[in-house]
Amino acid sequence: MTHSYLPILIMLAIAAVFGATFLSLNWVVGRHQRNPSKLDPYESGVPLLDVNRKRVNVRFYQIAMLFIIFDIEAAFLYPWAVIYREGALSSRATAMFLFTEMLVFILLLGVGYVYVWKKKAFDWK
Amino acid sequence: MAFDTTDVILSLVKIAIVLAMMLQVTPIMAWVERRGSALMQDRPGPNRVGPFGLFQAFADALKFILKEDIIPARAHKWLYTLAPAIGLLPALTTIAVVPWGRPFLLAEREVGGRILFEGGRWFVPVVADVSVGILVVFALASFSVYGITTAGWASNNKYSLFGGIRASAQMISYELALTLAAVSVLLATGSLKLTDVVWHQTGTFVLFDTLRLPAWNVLSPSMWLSFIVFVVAAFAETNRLPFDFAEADAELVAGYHTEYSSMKFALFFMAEYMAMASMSAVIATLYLGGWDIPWYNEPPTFLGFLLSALFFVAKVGFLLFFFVWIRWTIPRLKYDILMRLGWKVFLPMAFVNILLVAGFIAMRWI
Amino acid sequence: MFEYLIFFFFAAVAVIFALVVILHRNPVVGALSLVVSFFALAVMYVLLDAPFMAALQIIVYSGAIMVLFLFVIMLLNLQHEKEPSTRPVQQWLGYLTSSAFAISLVYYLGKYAVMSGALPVPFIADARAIGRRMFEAYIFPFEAVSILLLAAIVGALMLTGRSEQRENTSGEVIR
Repeated sequence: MTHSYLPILIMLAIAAVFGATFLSLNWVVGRHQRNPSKLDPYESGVPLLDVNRKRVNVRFYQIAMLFIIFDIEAAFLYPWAVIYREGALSSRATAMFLFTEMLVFILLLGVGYVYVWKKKAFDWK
Repeated sequence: MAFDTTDVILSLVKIAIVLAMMLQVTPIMAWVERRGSALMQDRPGPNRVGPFGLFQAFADALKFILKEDIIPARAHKWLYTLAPAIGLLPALTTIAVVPWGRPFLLAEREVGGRILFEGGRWFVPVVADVSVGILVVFALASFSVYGITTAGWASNNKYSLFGGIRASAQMISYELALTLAAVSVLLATGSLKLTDVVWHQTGTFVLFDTLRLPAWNVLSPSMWLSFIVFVVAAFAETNRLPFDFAEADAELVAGYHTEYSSMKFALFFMAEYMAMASMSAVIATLYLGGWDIPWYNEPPTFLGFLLSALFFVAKVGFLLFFFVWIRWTIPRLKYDILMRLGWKVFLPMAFVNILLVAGFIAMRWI
Repeated sequence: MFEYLIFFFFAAVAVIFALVVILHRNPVVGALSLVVSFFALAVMYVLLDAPFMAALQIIVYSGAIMVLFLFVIMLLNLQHEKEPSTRPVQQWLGYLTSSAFAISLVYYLGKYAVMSGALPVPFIADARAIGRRMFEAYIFPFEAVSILLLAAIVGALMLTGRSEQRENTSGEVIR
């Protein structure tokens, strides 16, 4: 079944070639008239005030960490979603079993979610 | 891996069709967006190049190529140049796993002494019918963060960095809502394959013993929460208004592409519209029945394929118009409201819907 | 044959970009190279008939963890840092352990690796098979994972929450 993934690789390659072509075409055809003020960073028309690469707020880091955790949770949901229908339709006991299993999983993480909510990590100031 | 010549050719034909469609999206949507906004704001819009300004996009493309390619003095040269191309990769590739028509049977025929399609062969109109379909969409969507972040960082400009960082935080937050909303659909389908998702939505179901409705997910009584979450998250994923914090013209000049000019800027522009088109195609596939024609059983012939493909394009077209419509109707939110909405409203909504659908299946209602 | 071509191409990509990660001076370039390296690894998973793993590799590693890395780099504002030179003892210890690791890697690969035409597929690793195993045989580890994630949530907030008081004193950060 591996070869059914090949077209995706081909599409990626085509997209890369496409981007490279356009960029180089522009390089070849476009004008080349440089001067120092043209190459300055844009600062609404005033001279550069201070460094441009500033440090970012720790909140972004926090959001990224929470994202990883919930993303991993989502990763566990996919295999469950795939087997659930078949299992649930086979017998009522299996349905209850699979449902409770995931309910416990989600509720346990729900505790964490409530904790984050109470800690006001979702509130940007 | 052994290759069958017919398979390879069919595969290449599919890729060619999909690429041709995707490359048309940008000029058409640029026109629709500009004329559409003009219509909504009661002004003429671009009307000089060609009838109704139809050729405006081509004039723009020419201009993009002829303009000077500026790399700011203290920018990171390599990353600055690569960033627009990085953005283009996922935007163009996502469509590969989306089915765009009803499969039909190619009958055996003889052309020039050679027998083609021996014993008949199914033409499945999807570039890569892979077993993890929807996950490929999410995997590629997670790549699209890098184009914007890299551009923002490499430009060496405050506004770019602001835009890039904000956009990446926004995109990861809403990616979560997006994936969790889709889990509801996967539950109902019992497969990750997008062709299975569409097949599951063909046919009809009877609502409250009175209405005979197409079995599309959006019409299912258990799925509307997840539909809302998915559509909103799709807007946030593609950085469209009311969630365009990557650009936020009023505050950040032009956000992550402030320093970009000429073709590099055009590539971001193209990537945005292609991402919109792919996202619309995914929404149509997951919720609007994909290529399914309501109350009609498509025959497995070329005609059935053509009709269904047209329906699919129409659905995607409507969703694209919806994107434009929303853009010129709803103003931009504040950033704190956006983050709070994503984590406090849409995330729980997605979870509730997952349990709801699971309950429905356990009760054998769907 | 064709599989080998793809394998060796992406193996080369994975190794080269992994080298860029450790050799390049700019941390942002390093982080992005690691993303490319992860993508090449995902291609290997597909070649091993484990597409579900490949997708998760990209979604979790490239999509989530590397974004965190980028944020950390931007949080600390690392740029072309000239590292303080390490002590010679540390350098020699580093060389010693890494060469020992390399030798043992080559030895075990030579001993156990199979280079045959047909790829041996020891397990079926699609989402359905994984789901069956996980939700029937391994329920307890599965539920334990949620406890682990819960601990991770608390840890994440503890790590980042402390700087809240200091936040107002420095006007240098982007919010």
